[in-house]
Amino acid sequence: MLTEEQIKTLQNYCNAKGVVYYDLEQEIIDHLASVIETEQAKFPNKSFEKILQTKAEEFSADWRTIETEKRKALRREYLRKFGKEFMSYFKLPRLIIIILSIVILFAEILNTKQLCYIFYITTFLFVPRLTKTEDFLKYLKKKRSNNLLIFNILQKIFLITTILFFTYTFSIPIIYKFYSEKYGEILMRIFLLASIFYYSSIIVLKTMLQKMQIDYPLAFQN
Amino acid sequence: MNKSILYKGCLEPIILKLLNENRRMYGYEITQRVKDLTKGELNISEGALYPLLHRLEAEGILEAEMENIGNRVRKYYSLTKDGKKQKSAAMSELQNFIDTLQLLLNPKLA
Repeated sequence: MLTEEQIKTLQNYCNAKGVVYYDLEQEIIDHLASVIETEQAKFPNKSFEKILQTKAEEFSADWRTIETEKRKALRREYLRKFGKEFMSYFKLPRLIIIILSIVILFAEILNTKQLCYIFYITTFLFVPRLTKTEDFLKYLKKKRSNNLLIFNILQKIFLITTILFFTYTFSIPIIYKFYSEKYGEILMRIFLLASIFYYSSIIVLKTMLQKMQIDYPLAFQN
Repeated sequence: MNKSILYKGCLEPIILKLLNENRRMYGYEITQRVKDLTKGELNISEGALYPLLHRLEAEGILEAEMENIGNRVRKYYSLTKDGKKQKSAAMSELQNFIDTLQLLLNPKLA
């Protein structure tokens, strides 16, 4: 088993070779350490430094590819989970609420004023509560002592979806008042779908953030 | 011809089969097991192995758990429920591929 100091050397080596994310670094360090331990067992006289020099040189050529592919894989994972979460609203028992909402929103039961009230109540009261934004932000703001690739990706996704959702939300009253009441109303009616989209996104991000903290507790130590 | 190109397409069923037989494995362990089983014929490069493991994890075919082993963290991969189904499908696809090659290379035997 390699010593603490030797593991630190591997960490510095990874950093020098451009591996800056803790989650990726840990997997690479373990691989590299296993290679060195096997080699040491075969050739006990060979020094750690010598083995590192030869073995790490071969392996480090692939590190950029591994990081690029991991980025793609994490985005794919988010999309897969997001799709699953989003589609769960169109299955029983959630489907009943969706159908009822669609009937209320599209069957001309409500006049424009009532529709506006529902829109504002949903936007400012229910969506933040449903998404448990505060709780989620707590996870997002939690201090980390190490950079995590998965966190970097989730943070970007959160920023993009939030900007898109709130741009859509705040453009509705502007469109309604200054451009066209008809289009404003249409946008208000499909707001439910946008809310489910955003809500699903937050739920998935939160689940992935929670898992990240379980998997890499050391990354959150000060 | 480069052997690794020939083996590249078979990596996924190989990894799924190994994980099915061994419950959980880590990256380096997979490369060594493949090397041992093929008597050194097949050397999986890290650049081929880890992107594949990460992709399978993202697709929900594999799940990962971290374990502290002394002074470092080790990431173990295992098959999910979907992964077990995927393993059977991948193995039968690989068998079909071998049969087809057999037809081309040795029609009498096939």
